[in-house]
Amino acid sequence: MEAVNLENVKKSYDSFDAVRSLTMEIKEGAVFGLLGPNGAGKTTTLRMIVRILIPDEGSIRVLGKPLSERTQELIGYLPEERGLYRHMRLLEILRFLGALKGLPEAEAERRARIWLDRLGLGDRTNDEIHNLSRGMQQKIQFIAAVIHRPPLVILDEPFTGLDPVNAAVIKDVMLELRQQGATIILSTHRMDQVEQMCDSICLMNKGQKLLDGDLKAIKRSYGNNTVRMEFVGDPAFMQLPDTIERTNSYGEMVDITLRPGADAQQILRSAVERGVQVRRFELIEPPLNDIFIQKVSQRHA
Amino acid sequence: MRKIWLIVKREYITRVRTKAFILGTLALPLISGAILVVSIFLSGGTSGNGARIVILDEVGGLGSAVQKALMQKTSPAHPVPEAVHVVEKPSEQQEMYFHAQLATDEIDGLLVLPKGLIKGKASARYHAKHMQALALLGPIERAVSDAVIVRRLQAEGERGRAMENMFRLARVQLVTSSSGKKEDDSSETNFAIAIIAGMVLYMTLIVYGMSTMHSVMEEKSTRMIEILVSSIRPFDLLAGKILSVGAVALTQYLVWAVTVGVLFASAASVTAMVRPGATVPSINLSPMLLVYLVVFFLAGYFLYSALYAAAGAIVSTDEEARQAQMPLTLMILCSFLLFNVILNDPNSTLSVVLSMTPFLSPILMTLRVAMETPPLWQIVLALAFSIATTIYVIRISAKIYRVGILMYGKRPSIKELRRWLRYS
Repeated sequence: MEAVNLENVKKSYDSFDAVRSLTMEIKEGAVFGLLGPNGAGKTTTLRMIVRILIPDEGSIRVLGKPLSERTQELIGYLPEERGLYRHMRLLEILRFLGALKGLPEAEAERRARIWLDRLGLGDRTNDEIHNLSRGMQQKIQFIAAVIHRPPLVILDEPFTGLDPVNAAVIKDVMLELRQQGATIILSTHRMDQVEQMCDSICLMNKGQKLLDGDLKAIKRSYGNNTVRMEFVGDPAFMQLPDTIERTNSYGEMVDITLRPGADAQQILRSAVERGVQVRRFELIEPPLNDIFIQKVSQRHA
Repeated sequence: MRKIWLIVKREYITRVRTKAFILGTLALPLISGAILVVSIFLSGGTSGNGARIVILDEVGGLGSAVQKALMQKTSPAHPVPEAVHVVEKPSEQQEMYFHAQLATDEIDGLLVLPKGLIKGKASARYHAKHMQALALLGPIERAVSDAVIVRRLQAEGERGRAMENMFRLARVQLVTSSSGKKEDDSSETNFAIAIIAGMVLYMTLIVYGMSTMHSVMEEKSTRMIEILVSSIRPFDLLAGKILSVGAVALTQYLVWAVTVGVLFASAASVTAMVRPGATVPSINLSPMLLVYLVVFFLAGYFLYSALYAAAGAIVSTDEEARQAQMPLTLMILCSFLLFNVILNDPNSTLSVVLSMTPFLSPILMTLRVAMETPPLWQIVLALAFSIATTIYVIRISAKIYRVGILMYGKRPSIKELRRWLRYS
């Protein structure tokens, strides 16, 4: 069974089509990455799944059921726009949000204490929200999203605003949830995180799906068409228009996208001829970042 | 239902806990207590009620007639002394004794009826030190002159008795035109209660309406709203919010009613001990009036708070909020400005029509009910109109709310608002 099923879903605001005819399946028990540039329709799509917005057309099913108040309780949602009531205490707000998701209040409070301890907020249970830092508030919201152990967790940009330590804590919890069988939908711009965590992805742009499927399969379909190089010397050796389609420089390191059928050895030869000292020369699958940029700019063109 | 209850509980607790609520709730009993204390002293001082008067009757037989006339209460506005003591043919020691009593405040007024009074050779003297006793000057003048005239007529024998009958004073008794019932003390308090009830409604509608609006805005600006509507239907959220703010308002009323009630009750007994005879302004709220007050408050409250909630959903900034709430506040202000129409003549056609107009009826009908008793059908009709309007308004507000809460940024135009209504 699929965790989420979207069929020809459409949503438009006044004069603007946020999502146009989107069909998508998200497998149960996977970490699913929803990618796309700003304004691609990611947040609108997620909001429709949690039933904040009602689609104009098409149907959405969560764990096989059409959307209802019941399916809302199966979902934990961390919105991109974050904030909490300023004048409530930590424990109070988690008890309230847990109860809204169907937990008995006492049980919600019990779980809230466990989570607060685990995320290092155990000594602040009676502090009011406005006394917390943004990162701490974000952790509270994360707890609110998972406190009722939902089979489907939707996290819209979960890592923005978190320091590396806290980001690592949240990442561990996410992987743990997946191990327990939960499905996690992740919306993000950070390609490195997607490559680390996601099993499958959907790339969106301008309200439409550009590509989706298993992450490894997608990367494999592009073949080993990328050369990752580290070198010291004049980068002019890369002026090989017949061989090189694009380069993407990270300073010391550069990712070179080959033209279809081109021979990577040409580049190495050119470097040696020009006396460039090569430290690393590796044929790899294209980084997701490149696929992303390529796909999105193709459409723009 | 469970979720609405959760919302009501959360909003109620966080609201009742705020300093603003606690201060506001305590302020009214404190202020009215202070007013009460002041008014007890002032009322003792100006009304003439409760004054102790001594009459030194040098003529003989005249004092008791004056005493009788003074002690008669003919109208609610008419001051009556607490006690009138008559001394017939006082000795010089007695005169000095009572003047001394007046000087030491043992008595409040001293009326001397000198010997030549009947013949018109001397005039009566009234010694008074306080405002309280001075207020009796009018009644005393009338009582003395009546008694003197009666005495002069009696001196005329048979002819005089006939004249006396002709001169028998005709008293005017105050009767209200509307009810046809004999006016009693409550006529003045009714009027006061009407105005107080109207003012209280007017203020609560504005204060708690704005409170609802700010609560919606807070959820919008903190983006709490996204988490909420991912768990609960916007309509339920709106319903919970309005119910809880209403419950907070009723809590405040209850605290006020109980404390002010206790205050006045205890004030009555305290005054009786401390300053016998001074009157305490009494509040006789009839239970029916209280029921109507609550019913019309609820009708008005739901109507306006739904509108305020919709206004809160439309706007994102305080500046926009000020603009959006203007029409609503003006509508409530309208009721306030129409107070006079009702107070002047609660039964005129204009009053009847206005008190049944939706948006105006909550305040204006309450005003009429407090002043007198309009026919039941008018009350029921006003309530029916009001409830029908409220249901309609809540439906529209809920739609605006549903779309508005997720819109940040620019305030929508009327055209966009109309499109919002078609969304959901």
